[in-house]
Amino acid sequence: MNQKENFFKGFMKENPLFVSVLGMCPSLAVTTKVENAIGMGIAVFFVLTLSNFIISLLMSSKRLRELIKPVRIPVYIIVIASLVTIVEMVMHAYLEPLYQSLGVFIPLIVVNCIILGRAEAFASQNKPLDSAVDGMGMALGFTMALLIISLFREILGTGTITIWGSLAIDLGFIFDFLKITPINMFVKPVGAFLSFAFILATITAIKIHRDNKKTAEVSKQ
Amino acid sequence: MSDLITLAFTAFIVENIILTKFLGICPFLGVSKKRSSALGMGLAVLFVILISSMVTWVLYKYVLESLSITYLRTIVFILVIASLVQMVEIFLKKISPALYKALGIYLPLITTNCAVLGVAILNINNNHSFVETVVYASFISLGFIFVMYIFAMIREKLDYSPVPKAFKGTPIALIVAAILAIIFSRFGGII
Amino acid sequence: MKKGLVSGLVLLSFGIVCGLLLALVNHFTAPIIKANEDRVKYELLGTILTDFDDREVVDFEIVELELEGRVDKAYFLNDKDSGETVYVFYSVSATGWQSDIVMMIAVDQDMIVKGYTIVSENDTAGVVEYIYTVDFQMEGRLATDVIDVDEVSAATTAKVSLGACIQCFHYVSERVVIDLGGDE
Repeated sequence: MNQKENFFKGFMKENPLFVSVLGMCPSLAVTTKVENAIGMGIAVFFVLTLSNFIISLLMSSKRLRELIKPVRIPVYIIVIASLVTIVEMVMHAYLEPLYQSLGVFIPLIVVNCIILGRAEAFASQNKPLDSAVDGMGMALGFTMALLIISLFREILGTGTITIWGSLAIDLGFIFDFLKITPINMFVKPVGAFLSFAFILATITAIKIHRDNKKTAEVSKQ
Repeated sequence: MSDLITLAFTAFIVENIILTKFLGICPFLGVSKKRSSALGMGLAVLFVILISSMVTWVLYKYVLESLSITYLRTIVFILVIASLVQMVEIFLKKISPALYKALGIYLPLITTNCAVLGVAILNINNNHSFVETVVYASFISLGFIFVMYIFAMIREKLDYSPVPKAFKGTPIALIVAAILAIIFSRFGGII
Repeated sequence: MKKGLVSGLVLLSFGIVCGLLLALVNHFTAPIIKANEDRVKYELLGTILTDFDDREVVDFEIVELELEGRVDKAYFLNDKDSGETVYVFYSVSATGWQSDIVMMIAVDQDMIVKGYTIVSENDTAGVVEYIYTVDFQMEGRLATDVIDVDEVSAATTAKVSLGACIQCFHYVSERVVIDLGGDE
């Protein structure tokens, strides 16, 4: 497939969160604010792109490949863990508030099934450039999914959208207009499960609808 | 002593690992379709979390801190966990091949279970002593098993219920989890 | 056997390379993280003296000393390059009417009082608030030259609390000679 397809498949067809349902742990916890989703997205983008690139580089050289193969999972883990530790340290120094909000989920990027999964399924079998593009696409697709969930949760839960620190959009007026108050439940664990359930159900419903249309067209012919 | 009891109760219910802390969701949704596999998985996770928490705690306090290389904690912890899971696999293969087969792919996947690494790091972040670490790790895992078991019971019945097509599978499981989450969150006021 | 050894070596070399890389990043980020933490930890010091000659609290090397007696803690702000003590902050308490009054007093290397604040007190409410408004006229004065109680105008009801604050300055004046006056 060409690079464009390679990049965009992470958004829709093979969206890691909505289609493959990988990387759920951080998604439920991090999507309380749009700001956190963006921060997590940036971190995952960095780690996923670089880990795919580096692992693909390592596995391209024939000699290295033979050396690494028997212990490839531990090697992937070392590479990914180092990248995550770099992200952790840089965030702690330069983006302290984000570091505190994301908390324990920054080091947990190491065990995010998405990164290890792509390394094993794609990066180890493909060229470095393709792997990097795949990583970027997957990471952005993941971020997009996180954004959808966090927009849903934050707007319904608090009526504001915090984009970055003090940069926030207050949508309180919509709630005043409809004479309702924001439903705090959505920023709690309950809301996380519910939002995710409804968004997944919506996507499945759209898929079913599309499949029905397709089979209807086929049977008409 | 009362601190330990509070810690245990909090770890078990109030800050339940799945329903409040969101760690361990993947196996929660993947393995909980049958009660027996949920129980087997839960016990394996309990063992791994307990041993890894103890080992990582000792390593952190006596090695990483004394050498001032605490930034290596993520790498060291995850490698310890990976080795431990490998050992559990070998152990299970010999002792109980039936359970080994039943767990299948999910056994090596305990390595990437957020709960294991998460608990190891939480022990350090919350400055637990060794005893507190053992208590916390045990009761967090017991909470994990408890919720997984309840979930598996519900899901077994769910298979016979009329669920709308779009909700079949993961979405309806998440809604059940949401209801369980509400119930567990109400325990917060007790302490 | 040989395969296991080779694999082990591969893992070890990867581990060492990554460890070195992380040590490099840590070298750059660790000081910034520490400065951020210190900024929060020593926030109180920053409120007493807002301008450390155009520097921030975190530009100093801060040495904490636990002491016995009424002056229970001393924070030495040393210059990072020369190691010289530039400022000393004392946490001191004295007996008020119902409970202790705790103050934090800042002195510079020449034993001149640069700033002070009342950290906590638990005396009669409605009366003790007065001491917050009093100017003890100690700023710019030599720490050992403590103001006379009568010079501070006050209502008689707050006199005990006021006396406690003055007493704090006395304790500091004794301590400051030990810490800063020794080798002059």
